[in-house]
Amino acid sequence: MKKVVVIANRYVDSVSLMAVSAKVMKLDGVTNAESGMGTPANLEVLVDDLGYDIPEVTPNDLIMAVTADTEEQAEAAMKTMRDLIDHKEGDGSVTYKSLSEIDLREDEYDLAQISLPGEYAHAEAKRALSMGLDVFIFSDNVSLEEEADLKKYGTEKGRLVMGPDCGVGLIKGVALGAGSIVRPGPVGIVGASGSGCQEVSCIVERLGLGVSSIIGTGGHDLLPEIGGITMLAGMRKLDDDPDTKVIVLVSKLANLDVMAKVLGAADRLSKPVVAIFLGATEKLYEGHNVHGTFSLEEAARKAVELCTGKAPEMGYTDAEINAMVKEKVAALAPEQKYVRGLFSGGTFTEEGMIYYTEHNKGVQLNSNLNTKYSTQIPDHDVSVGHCILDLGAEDFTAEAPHPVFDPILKLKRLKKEIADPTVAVVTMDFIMGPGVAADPVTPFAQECKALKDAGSKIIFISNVCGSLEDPQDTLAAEKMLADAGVIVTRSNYESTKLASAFLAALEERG
Amino acid sequence: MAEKKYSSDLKVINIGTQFFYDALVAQNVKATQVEWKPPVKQSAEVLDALNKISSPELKEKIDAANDKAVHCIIDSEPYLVDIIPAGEVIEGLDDYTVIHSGPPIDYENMTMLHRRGLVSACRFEHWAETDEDAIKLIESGKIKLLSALDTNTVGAGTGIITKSVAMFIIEDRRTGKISANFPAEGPNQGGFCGWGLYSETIADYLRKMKDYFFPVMKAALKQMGGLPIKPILAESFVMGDENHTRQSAADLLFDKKILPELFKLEGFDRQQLLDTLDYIVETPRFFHCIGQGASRAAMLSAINTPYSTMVTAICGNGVTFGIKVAGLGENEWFTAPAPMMTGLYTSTKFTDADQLPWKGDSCVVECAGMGGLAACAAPIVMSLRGLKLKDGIALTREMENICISKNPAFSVPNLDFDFLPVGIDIRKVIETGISPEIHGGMFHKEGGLIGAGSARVPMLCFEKAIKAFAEKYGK
Repeated sequence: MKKVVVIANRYVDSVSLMAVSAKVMKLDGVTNAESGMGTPANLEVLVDDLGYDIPEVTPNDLIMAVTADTEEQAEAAMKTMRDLIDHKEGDGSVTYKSLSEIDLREDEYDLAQISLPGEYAHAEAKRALSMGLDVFIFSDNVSLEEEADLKKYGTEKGRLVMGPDCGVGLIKGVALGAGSIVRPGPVGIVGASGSGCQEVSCIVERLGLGVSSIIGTGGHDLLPEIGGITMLAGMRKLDDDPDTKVIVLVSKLANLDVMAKVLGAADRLSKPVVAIFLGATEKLYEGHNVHGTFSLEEAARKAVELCTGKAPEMGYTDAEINAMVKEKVAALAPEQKYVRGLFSGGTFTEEGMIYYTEHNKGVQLNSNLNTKYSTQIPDHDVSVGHCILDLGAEDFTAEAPHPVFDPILKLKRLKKEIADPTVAVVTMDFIMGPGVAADPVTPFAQECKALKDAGSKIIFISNVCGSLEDPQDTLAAEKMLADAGVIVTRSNYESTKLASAFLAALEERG
Repeated sequence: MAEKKYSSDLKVINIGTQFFYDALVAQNVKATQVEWKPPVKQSAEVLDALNKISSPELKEKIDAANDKAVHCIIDSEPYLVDIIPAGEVIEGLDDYTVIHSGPPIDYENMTMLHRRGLVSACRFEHWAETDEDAIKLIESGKIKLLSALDTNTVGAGTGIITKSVAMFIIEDRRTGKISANFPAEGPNQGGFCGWGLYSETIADYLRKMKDYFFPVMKAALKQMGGLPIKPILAESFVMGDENHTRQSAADLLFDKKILPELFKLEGFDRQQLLDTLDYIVETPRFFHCIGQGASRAAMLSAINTPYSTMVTAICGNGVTFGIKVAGLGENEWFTAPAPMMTGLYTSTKFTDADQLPWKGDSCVVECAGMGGLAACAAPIVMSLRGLKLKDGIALTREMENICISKNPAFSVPNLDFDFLPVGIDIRKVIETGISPEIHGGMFHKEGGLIGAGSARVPMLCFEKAIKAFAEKYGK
């Protein structure tokens, strides 16, 4: 079976062509493969020696000729030869240099996850929206004007705009950003606080249920400039979602008008709504149909209760806490007076300070943050008194990677704190998930273990914000910490409650 | 890690930290990591224009149109077929009409070189017998000006062309499009057409070319049935030409084709044949106009391809610089101030102060995927600009980012026989912030070639073009 194809006016260097023929000869059933320019010398070989029937050609035309056992084999050999000449061999994998290179009809996608420097995030997000994609924008430092523009455009396009400054998401069971892989279930979460959403979802899972979605709005969604566009859209989406039974709204205290608008919209949803606006009082929820809560743990428990009809039990009882405090404080040296908090989650820092302010009245709290609950320390590298640090804040991350992604910053600070003879209690959070540090716990557990073995009486309190599906193995991490003498709690709220009890005891002891 | 128990059909594009892409892969999610690079800062209007033309439906149309347009280059079959006077082959080139290079410009705003070219044109055609009369004639408004790239020709240098200049005719036999190109002027290279100069010697030589050399060449071309250009281009890329600044190999390959034909001719005396041979062989860069002509013929096939974002013209007039786009108006220009070149001067006595901003249409070869886009093919051109081969390879690889395709006809040893990029896409230029690299000769403000170098097409041209494109096709 002979086959000949001529490409008119196509010059290929003869040395390249020799390599092509050799490769084609290796194919099944191919007994001869020739490619050459239509020169008299080549024609002589092809026609006289090899018996090919060649149409009229010029020396500027490329002749491809194959002989194979069957028609199919000849066809395949011809295709291979053409591909080799056109350099089309390769593994077929595609890489894109920009969004616009992606043809969604050939290569389908649902969502663009964007973690570029803030100045570039708007342009890429807008492009993604124009292509019909939902967007998840981890980037911060996006202006409010740009955020408003994106969210209005998203509304117009019927697409979800999560972020900017969105730390955590869970869409169709996929953890986005720094979030955890939480198993599927009836609780749907919309939140402006990444670690807050993650905490609620992980506690829900620990209490035996799961999460349908976490729709992150980004930290600025409830500002008047944005007006809660994504939170409102997310609430509607979850209300329409058949897998969602209960909706949880998660945020720090935000603009009063926007919160009122969100709660008003919540009243009109068909499903029960639990709200946690950290730092709010009961007054905020008055006249609304939502289940107002005051800690992340309480919000998770309430959501589980609404789904199952039963209030779940978890954590230490007050009696257990009192006994623990009494025993451990008695063992401290007289100069060990202070509580130190080392946090990677901003919401966890704030949840703690709110609690201490309410339960440890009259105690001065210090922090690197400038909040109404605390006094700002002059040098973020030097802790003063009872000091609660948000290590994910800009004063720290300007110098080192965010502690969620690289624990080194937190570890260094821990070593500094434990060398301080006035430190009595250290409380720390740990955050798990496929998008964060591969092993955030081990180096800390080792440090605490070494200290315990050396006879130190410093009290460590920790909780792990992670799911049972996260790659780091949350349960093993908790056990490692407990073995190192750390008091392991099940939530940031519980850690806070314990730390507050220690703080009160330390103050009382003087 | 824990095995993933819950499957998901979510498909995610990750743009940014690799960490998050790895997290998606670890979750068995279909994901792609965009190899993103920071773009040049775009104005809101440009972004808006890009977004307007990014819908999947429109993108599909544009991609299909670009495929069609770029195949006008890749599949072109250029032949040098004839030599005839410009007036017979360029529409509208009548008495009192002068063609010039670059985007349209009027006499008042022209550089001295172009003004002098107009004067020379009037004298060459005997519309005026003195410079003073010529200036009067021009200022009277009687002289009609045409931009070369608004016709089927190419205005290299000043691109001064009038109806009596004999032109090399290149036919794209795939489409039948014809481009007309002024030939190299022998010892006066640059001469009338390139530098816009007029003297008795120059005028006489032009007439000698037309009446003495070209009848011989014309007969040889007829005898051959036309001389195929593409194989010469293809082979010259393997031999170290990039076909803008250098065409040494192409010259030899051309000579090899045409010279034997001269000696097969009958009816010419031996001296005329030898003189013609001398003209062809002794004229440096003889092939340059033919390479431009082949490029121009391909561009003529590509213009008026609706929805195409491919660039079909790049040129300057010493004041403004302009581009044209296949899917936009045939005579619609997108202009910016003409750039200066960087490179090396032929003598240390020249400085940037002597250099004229970009003038000439020869970047038609860049439009067809040669010259600056083929920098890797010509190490010696890199060298004479003070660069290394690796810089040329990096340049060509960079140009791949803004091109529609690769040209399987042009394979280059320095790329391990990979193909040269071809077909500049204005969308990709805007998105990547990478502007086409263009090679060229440096002109002295007073005329004459003073060096060789390169420039980048001003981004403003592309910004204007993308806005016009979005205006026409976007929604």
